[in-house]
Amino acid sequence: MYQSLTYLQVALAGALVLVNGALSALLQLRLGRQLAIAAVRMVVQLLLVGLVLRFVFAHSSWLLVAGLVVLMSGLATSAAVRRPDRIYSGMWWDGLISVVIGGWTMGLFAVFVVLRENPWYQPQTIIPLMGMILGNTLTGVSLGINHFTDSLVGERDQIEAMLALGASRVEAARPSLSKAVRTGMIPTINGMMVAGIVSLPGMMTGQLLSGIDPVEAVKYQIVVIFLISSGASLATVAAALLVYRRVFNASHQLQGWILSVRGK
Amino acid sequence: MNAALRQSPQPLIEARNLTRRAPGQGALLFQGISLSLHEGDRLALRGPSGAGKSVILRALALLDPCDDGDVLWQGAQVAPAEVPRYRQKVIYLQQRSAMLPGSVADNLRLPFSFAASSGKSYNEAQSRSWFAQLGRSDDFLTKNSRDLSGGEAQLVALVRALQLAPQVLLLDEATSALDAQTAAAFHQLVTTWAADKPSGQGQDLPLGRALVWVTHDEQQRVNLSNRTINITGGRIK
Repeated sequence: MYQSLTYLQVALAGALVLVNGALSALLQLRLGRQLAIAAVRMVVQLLLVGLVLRFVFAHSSWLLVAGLVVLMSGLATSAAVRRPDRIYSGMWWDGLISVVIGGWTMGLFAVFVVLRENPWYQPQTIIPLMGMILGNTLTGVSLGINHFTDSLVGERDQIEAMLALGASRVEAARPSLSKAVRTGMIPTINGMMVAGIVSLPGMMTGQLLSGIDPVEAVKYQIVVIFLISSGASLATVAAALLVYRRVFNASHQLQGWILSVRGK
Repeated sequence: MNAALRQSPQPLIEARNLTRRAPGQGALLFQGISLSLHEGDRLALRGPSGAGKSVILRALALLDPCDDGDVLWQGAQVAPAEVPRYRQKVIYLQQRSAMLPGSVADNLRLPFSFAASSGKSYNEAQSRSWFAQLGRSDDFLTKNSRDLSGGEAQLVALVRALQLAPQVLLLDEATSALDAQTAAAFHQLVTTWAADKPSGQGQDLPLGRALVWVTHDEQQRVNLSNRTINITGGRIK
């Protein structure tokens, strides 16, 4: 059954970081500093999250829940737009819109169609659920933007050849769009393929640890996997379409120059 | 040259005071370009490398936005929604002919899948005939586009454009990768095409056709053009 952990038990597990530190020193990996920073960051971040969640859970208010979801969406967007190799002006907003389209749609579907809890803004349900959905959505957004912008630059001559032969911007962009969306959706399909085989999904593990019947935990996990895979797919498509609208103007011209390589 | 066509008052293409700066940098690519292209014109754009000839051709094909000026088709602005149809009437052939995945025949068929090609259909016999004039046998159509040389890609690009029954071809060093014999066949095909009356597809087509060449080959310019415009530093000199 569920067992509450003492800080001493947490510290015991934390001591394991010394194993990593020893390995780094022994093999001269020079990762000690990074390791220490990462470990401290992880502990501080999670403790802060724990405190925030405790506060939100205690004051069950839809405003607090909505505020936290907005904050999480902003953070997910920032993480998503940090990854693609190419950047453009307005990318953050495109990322946010995609995160909202992919993440919030699935969140609302889960809350009002699948779970139908009373009240609907149960923070214990919505916050972890949105955390998982947004986490996968941001991967979809960054993959969508990355692959589509890569393709636009790499296949520019072919796209321009099609435009020069009378293709509309949709017709000229379609092969690159399809490829980008396909690549963006593959991780979620792969994730479904190996669910429960390679490792037990995080949420299910958490529920098992808290003593829930395994079949009940599996049912929840199935719901969550469908939500996150659809959310990620929607976000990938939205991100690629938003890039498309920026890069092609109404006169069916490819404005590839708006894309620049990160750091240049 | 056909004198009757030359007297046509309405130019096919009229460029009015076109100016374009390099995106983000502000350097002028071309400035104050005004020219008219009438039916029967075989216009050569001459100038040193980097003078702005290619970017002017791209502007005439409405492939790039201009900062100032207008490109008119038969006296009227081209509405954004009409741009794809305009680009089937005024086809720009890139310097490096980009091939799409698949065979040569796939490359020829693809443009007929575009909405702007409604009413047109792929005519394999016509393509074979053009390729024969360019010294290519029937099995050339089955060759994979990945295996084409730069010169062969230029031949496919030409046939891919001609089959769409354009009225204007904008040729950007379109024979740069061809040997002398094939280049001569290319020139012959293009000049015959330019002098020919459009037939078959598209009842709304007027009679004349026109060409714009960008070439560094002086002999080619003399043989193929009936007008020359000199471009230096992005301006007409």
